Amino acid sequence: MSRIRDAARAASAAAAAGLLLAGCGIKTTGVVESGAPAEVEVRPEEGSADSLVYFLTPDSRLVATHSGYSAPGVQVALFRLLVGPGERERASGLRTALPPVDLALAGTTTVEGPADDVIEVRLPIDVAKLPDLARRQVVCTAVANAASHVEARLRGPDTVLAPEPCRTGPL
Amino acid sequence: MPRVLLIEDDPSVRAGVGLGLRRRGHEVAAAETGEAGLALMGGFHPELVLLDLMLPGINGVQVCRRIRETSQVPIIMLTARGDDFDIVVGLEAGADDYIVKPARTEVIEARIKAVLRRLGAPAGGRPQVEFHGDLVVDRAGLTVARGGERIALAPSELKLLLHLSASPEQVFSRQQLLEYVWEHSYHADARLVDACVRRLRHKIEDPDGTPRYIQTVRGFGYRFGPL
Amino acid sequence: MARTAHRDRTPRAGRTGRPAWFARRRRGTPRERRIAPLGLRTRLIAAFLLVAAVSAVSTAALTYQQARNAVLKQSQDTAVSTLRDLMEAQPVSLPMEQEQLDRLVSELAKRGKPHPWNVFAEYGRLRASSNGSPTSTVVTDRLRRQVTAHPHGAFQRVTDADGDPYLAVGMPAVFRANGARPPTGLVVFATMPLSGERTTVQAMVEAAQRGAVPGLAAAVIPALLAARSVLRPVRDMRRAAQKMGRGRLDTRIEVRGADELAGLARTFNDTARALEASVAELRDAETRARRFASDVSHELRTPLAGMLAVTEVLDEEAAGLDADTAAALRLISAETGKLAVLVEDLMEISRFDARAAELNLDEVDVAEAVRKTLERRHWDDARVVTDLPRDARARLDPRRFDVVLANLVGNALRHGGAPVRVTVRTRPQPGGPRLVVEVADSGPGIAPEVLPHIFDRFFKADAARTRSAGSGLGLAITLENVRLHGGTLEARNGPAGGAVFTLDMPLEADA
Repeated sequence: MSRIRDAARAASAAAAAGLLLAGCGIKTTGVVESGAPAEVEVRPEEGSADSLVYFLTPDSRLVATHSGYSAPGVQVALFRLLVGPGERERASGLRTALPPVDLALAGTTTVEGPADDVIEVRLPIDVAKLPDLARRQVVCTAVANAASHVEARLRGPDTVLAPEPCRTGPL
Repeated sequence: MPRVLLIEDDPSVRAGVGLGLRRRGHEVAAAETGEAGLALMGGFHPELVLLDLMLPGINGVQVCRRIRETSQVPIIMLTARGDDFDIVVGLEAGADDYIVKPARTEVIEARIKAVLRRLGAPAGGRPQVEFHGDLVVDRAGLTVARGGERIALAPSELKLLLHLSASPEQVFSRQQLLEYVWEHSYHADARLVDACVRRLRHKIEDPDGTPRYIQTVRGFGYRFGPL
Repeated sequence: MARTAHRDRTPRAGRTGRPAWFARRRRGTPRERRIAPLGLRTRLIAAFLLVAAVSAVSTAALTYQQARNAVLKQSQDTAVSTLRDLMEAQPVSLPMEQEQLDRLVSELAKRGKPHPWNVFAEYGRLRASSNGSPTSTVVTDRLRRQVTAHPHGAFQRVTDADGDPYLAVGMPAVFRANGARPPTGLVVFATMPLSGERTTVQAMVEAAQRGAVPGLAAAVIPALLAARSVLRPVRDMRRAAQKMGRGRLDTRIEVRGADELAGLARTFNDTARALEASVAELRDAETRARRFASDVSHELRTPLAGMLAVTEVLDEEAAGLDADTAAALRLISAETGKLAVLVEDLMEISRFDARAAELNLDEVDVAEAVRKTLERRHWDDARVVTDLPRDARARLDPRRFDVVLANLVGNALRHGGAPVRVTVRTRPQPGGPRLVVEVADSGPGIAPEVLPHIFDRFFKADAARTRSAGSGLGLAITLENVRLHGGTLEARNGPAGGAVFTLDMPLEADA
């Protein structure tokens, strides 16, 4: 009896395999990572230096844009960051997490270094209470206009933060 | 009283049967072997032969056949029951009857008398000589001729033919024939009848055709004719 | 004393004329079931097919899977790398504007590979697509999250609302800046239907099916051959065993090869040989015993023939002798007669035992045959009452029938008592008409403990009865004669108390 049952079981297994073979077409998959991203050539607008400023997308990711200013340099880029997204950026949905800053005050931002691969950004605003995204916007903007492998240390009137690298990914 | 030739190899049977028959008045000559028996045939002129089938030297069946070559003397075989094959062969060889040993003298004598007994004369008014096709049957002279030539018939054959031809076209069962012709009991051996019919047909019928005179009625027995 | 000795000499098993082992032979039993619910052949073929099916299916499945994956991988890789290459050929400026996004999308949408595709571009909150709708239904949130969070290309196979397969490729754009590759924030999705791949895959499935079904059919042939090679020895063995069951003990199996079945065949042959030897030994012993009885009777018969021929001389002469001598002579004469009957009966039973008894059949009128039997023994008076059919003809051995009837009536008269009723009738039956003879006496009947032994050899119902009644073989011989005719003989006690013997045999016996 058990032999018959075994045979029946084996037969049904074979039948199942057959069905699998016959029924399966193209299966859906999960998300599969496949290779590098597209590395595009980014050309600054005519009359714009190629310094980069980091703003936030609507879904709170950091993306770089060209500053739109003809003058190059990290200081100009940081100034541009503190000024906030312009008309074009806002049209694309970009925003900033930094608090609004007086333009005169914004111009006092300075950068020291790099020393031991750390640059120090001296901001005219308190840094302790800066939101995380805002801090990262500052770090990335500073690093992007210095050298890629360095870290940035923020110093405000209130305190000095620990150096950190640029992280553009989501929180 | 008839002269009996007893051919039997066992001395006690030879002596016992001889003694019994002699006391009843038979003249008995006894032979120990077939050869001795055949030798006695000429000088003794027996009226009947009692023949043991199991003989040393030439056996009873051969002796029977040899006797039939020259003589139609009645022959009764002495056999043991169960020696079926010998009985059949002996009957085919021309023996008229058989007796199963051991048998009392009165039984043996009854058989001897039955074989020797003539059939009663035909009922009054019948002709003594009958013509049936090619056959001429002389009931008084006890002879049968076919196409003018006399046929030698053993006593049982003659009696069977006379009995059947006396009532042409009447069917006789084997048991009836055993009772009338052989004076056996109703339940005796029907092979006696069948063997005798075969021998008779061999002598009187056309060898190539179906039997004319002695006809078989399947399931019942035999009849004479119709021609 | 002689009686008990006689009784002991005939064991029960021997009564039927067959040895005890013979009774085991079962003729005419329904044939044993030839095949179990699932026969060996069926199971072997099923197993073979199963193996073939499993290997065919799994091979096909693996091959199919590999091929399918290769086909899909090719398409996917082509799509991903094409999208990447196309994107890399399009310079962008940041931040991107709607106009620029639209231009990019229309540029990319022209060159879909390996199939035409729809392109969706996202930047910030800007959306652009090649088909007019701002977002694609086949781009999942997971894919979007994946490519926006990690700067790598990615794809996903999905099905749309209709169940058709689609490939969705997501490609984020980064750029080189100052030794790093920061994201531009631009993500492009391309979606293309996989209907072509589906057709290819479907064709592969069909090819596998088309290959597998004839393959399975072809597997039946080796399965049958294998089953045959296994089953032939099994079948041989079954036939041999059946033959042996029918008594052919010299049956042997041809031993082929050296496998387990050959070993079994060898064992079978050894067993058969041993069985044959011991049966032959038994048969020899039995034959010797029977031949001895037969020989003894034979040897007794010749002197008896001489003695019986002269008993009447003794009877006649006794009258003239003194009383003692006369009595002695009459005793010898009478006992010689009985001895002759006994020897004759022994001879008869020996012939039955040796199966040498033959039927000399003839057509008889049954009523006449019965009447003649009674007449011949002078029982045709008031002691025997008959009820006979008219015109009933039977085919039987007249001499043996006479013996049977005479024994039954004689036995009834001796042990039962007059009047004895003999009833003969014929009875139709599917196998042919039967002749039924009933012999009932008016005596006290047969004691229950005696009934089972009534046909035994030398069995005497009444221990006190004198030997003069008969040889003691009468009913045994009667039974054998009935059997020889293919009939049965039964003894019982009738409702009125007398013994009733019923003989039932074919009206037309076979020789």
